[in-house]
Amino acid sequence: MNSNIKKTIVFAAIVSLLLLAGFTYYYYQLGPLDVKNANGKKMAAADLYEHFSKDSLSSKIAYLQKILEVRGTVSQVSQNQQNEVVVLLKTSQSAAAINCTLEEPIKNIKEGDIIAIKGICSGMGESDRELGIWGDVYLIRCYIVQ
Amino acid sequence: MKNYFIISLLCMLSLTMQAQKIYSKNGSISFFSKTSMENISASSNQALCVLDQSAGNLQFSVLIKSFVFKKALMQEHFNENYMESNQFPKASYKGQITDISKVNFSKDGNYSVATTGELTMHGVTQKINSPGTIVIKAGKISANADFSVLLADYKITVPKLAENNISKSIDIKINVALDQKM
Repeated sequence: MNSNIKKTIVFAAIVSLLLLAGFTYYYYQLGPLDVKNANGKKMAAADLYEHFSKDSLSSKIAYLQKILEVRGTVSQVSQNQQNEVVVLLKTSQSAAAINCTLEEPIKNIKEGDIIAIKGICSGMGESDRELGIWGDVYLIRCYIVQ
Repeated sequence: MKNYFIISLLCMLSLTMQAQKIYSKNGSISFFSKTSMENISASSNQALCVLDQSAGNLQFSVLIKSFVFKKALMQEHFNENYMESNQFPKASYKGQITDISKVNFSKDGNYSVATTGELTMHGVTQKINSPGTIVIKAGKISANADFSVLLADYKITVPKLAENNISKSIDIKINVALDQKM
């Protein structure tokens, strides 16, 4: 085989390997989804809850691990053990909420405000009807939509 | 008259019993895998936790998809390959604080307690005994516990290629502010 062809093949192989290694490294180091700058499917808090409580299978297919922009009335603002802000949005069931854990601290949001929150849907939590606990629908890594 | 008295008494008793249960829908559960190659951690702040203050019964439930990783690929592998979260969407714990009587819920302090119960994840249930702490501070109650689980015990298999990156034993941390009353 012509030595030039050999050199070209070796060069091409090395470049391909470097590209593959670079791509693998980049893919491996990739951070979580950029929720802040992404567009989410817009919907009302009450509708999201209704869908999960009436048809969990189709709602899982439609919303799980997807970015949603949910609009609703704030029923509670609190902080979790990691000092992240947790905002609850009202649903048709008074004991259940759209439970949103925010990525950034917020000010001036209070019970009764109507706001839109963008976050990743992680599903509907456990209910215990005997204890009167209704499962919330969770949004994680949330941001307030301005 | 006598019946009214009994009904009132029962209502009061029922209210008292209900008030003895406290819960949170935003409990924190984190886990850590440490190897010489890589440290991996993830956390969820969306765990449901219920504690019966009088009987010591303790319940946890967390959605597997609520765990957040620093790297997207790890989160994807965790859900799809290891925990198979579409098939097993939740992990749950049902147990008891066996020495709940030593906790004085009306007095500030850190109370070391013993727990025993069953942890179900990836479709497998195993018995777990772990020490924990109930913290009472200014009337607020929180619960903490640290324990380890073996992946093999829950039929979670790690492919050979990732064996050096993922520990066979995973450390789990639980930290819950039980701020809701029933």
